[in-house]
Amino acid sequence: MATVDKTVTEPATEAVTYERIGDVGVITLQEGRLNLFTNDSFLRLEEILHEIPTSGIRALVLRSGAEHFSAGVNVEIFKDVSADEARAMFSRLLPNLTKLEDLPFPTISSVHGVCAAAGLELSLGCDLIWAGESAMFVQIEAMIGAATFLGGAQRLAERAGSARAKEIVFTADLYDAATFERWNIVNKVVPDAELWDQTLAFATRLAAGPTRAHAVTKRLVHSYLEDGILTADREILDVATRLFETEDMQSNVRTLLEHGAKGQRERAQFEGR
Amino acid sequence: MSLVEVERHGDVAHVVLSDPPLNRFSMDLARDLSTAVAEVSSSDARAVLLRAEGEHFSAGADVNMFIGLSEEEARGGLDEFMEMVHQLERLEIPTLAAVQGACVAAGLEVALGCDLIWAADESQMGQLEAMIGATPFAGGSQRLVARAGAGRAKEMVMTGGLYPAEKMLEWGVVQRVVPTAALREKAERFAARLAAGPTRAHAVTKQVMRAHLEGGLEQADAILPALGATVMITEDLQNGVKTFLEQGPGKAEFNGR
Repeated sequence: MATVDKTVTEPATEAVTYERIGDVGVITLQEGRLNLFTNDSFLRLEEILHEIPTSGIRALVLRSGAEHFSAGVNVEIFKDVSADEARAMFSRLLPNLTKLEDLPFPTISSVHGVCAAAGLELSLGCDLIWAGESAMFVQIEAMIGAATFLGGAQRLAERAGSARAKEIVFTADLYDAATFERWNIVNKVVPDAELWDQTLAFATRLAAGPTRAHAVTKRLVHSYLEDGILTADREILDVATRLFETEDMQSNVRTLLEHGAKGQRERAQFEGR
Repeated sequence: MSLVEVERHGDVAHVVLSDPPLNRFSMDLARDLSTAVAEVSSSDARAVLLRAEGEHFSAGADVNMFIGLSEEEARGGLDEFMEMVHQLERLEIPTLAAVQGACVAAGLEVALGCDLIWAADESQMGQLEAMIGATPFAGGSQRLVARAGAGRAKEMVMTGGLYPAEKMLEWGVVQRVVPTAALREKAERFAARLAAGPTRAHAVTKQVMRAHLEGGLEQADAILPALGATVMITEDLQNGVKTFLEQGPGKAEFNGR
């Protein structure tokens, strides 16, 4: 693996870019037509994921600026790699997935075109997945005798159950967006032409929501998946009760009591504090 | 007067939220529900139907009690509320929630504490807490993950959306949708059928599935052999096997022993 030299000037067109639209952070993958991940794109992603947790954004969208979402990793980086070297490689790559999953605000992957292998695994690392109607998904690793090195198998099982997860990984077949929506892997399928506008509008809505409550929700879901229902239930007391002392909760409870439940959705206002 | 009534219909205990039309969860309602569940737990009922009087199953917590609470004060109340859900979940007999109208926030969390949920076709469900800057405080997030997977659970909680019964059926949150007018009768009939089943086997089924939610496959598999053995020697199983061999499937009658 290449060593990281942060003093090197970035190339004119970066493989991964970051911009901020209001309170929404947007990560755009744009490495050629297929968005094949290289070591460089992972390094750039790592930098971004390091910077954004405290940047003040309240939602994140992961998308592609290329023809496809991503065809996965450029398998060049797998050639003639020993088990030990692979271990080193993935012990550097996997923490990025954890960083993505642990971001303290909602994250959405916005998928068009082909979303394969590591591309699908990064999407599964987001809270929600929105897809254009012609998007195609595939966990393609079996075709090269590999496993889902970035956690696809277990994250598919989280959303779709173990039998569907095994089916998807064993077959390495292409699945359309409607099928993945039916299996609860994709949250919403929208017309291709509207994908970006709709995802951004939705992310903007989530970003205007109770950010600290969303962070707690993420933690409870994660805690259940990691350590079971009792641990998650205990975290309600240790973590969720902090929300009672947030401005967002107290001010909106007051609004609700003052004006009644009807119209609360429109009246609610959150600062993320 | 209690805000939660317990009625006995044959082997089925009806636990009835009786603070219509909204059946809002105040601490009083939560405590009365807890008392009702304790009563059922020490009875010989073989199934529970949790239902609600009035237009709505429950509009959720009475948010008046949230105003100006400190983290410490909140902790006490939430502890009690969570324990109430746990008590419901620990019942050894099958539990069915029949929901109509709005079944939201704490109301949905209590329904999720039941084994099965049947919903009226016009009912609507949602974890609305995000609307007031909150998260589900009685375990709704993790229980939605258990039924519908992580993606759907996060979607429901983060949007604070209100979903029609049919969508909840599609996502596996509810098990059956029936016409509003027929809900009570159909749910009662199904609860009676569960009550006439192999009660001790159902109790083990619940324990094993619970173990899976608590500690994964490993924990569930670890407790199964010993628990399975206790089922093997029940009257119901021995009689069920004999009847099956002599008369074919579906003929056995169970007495819960």
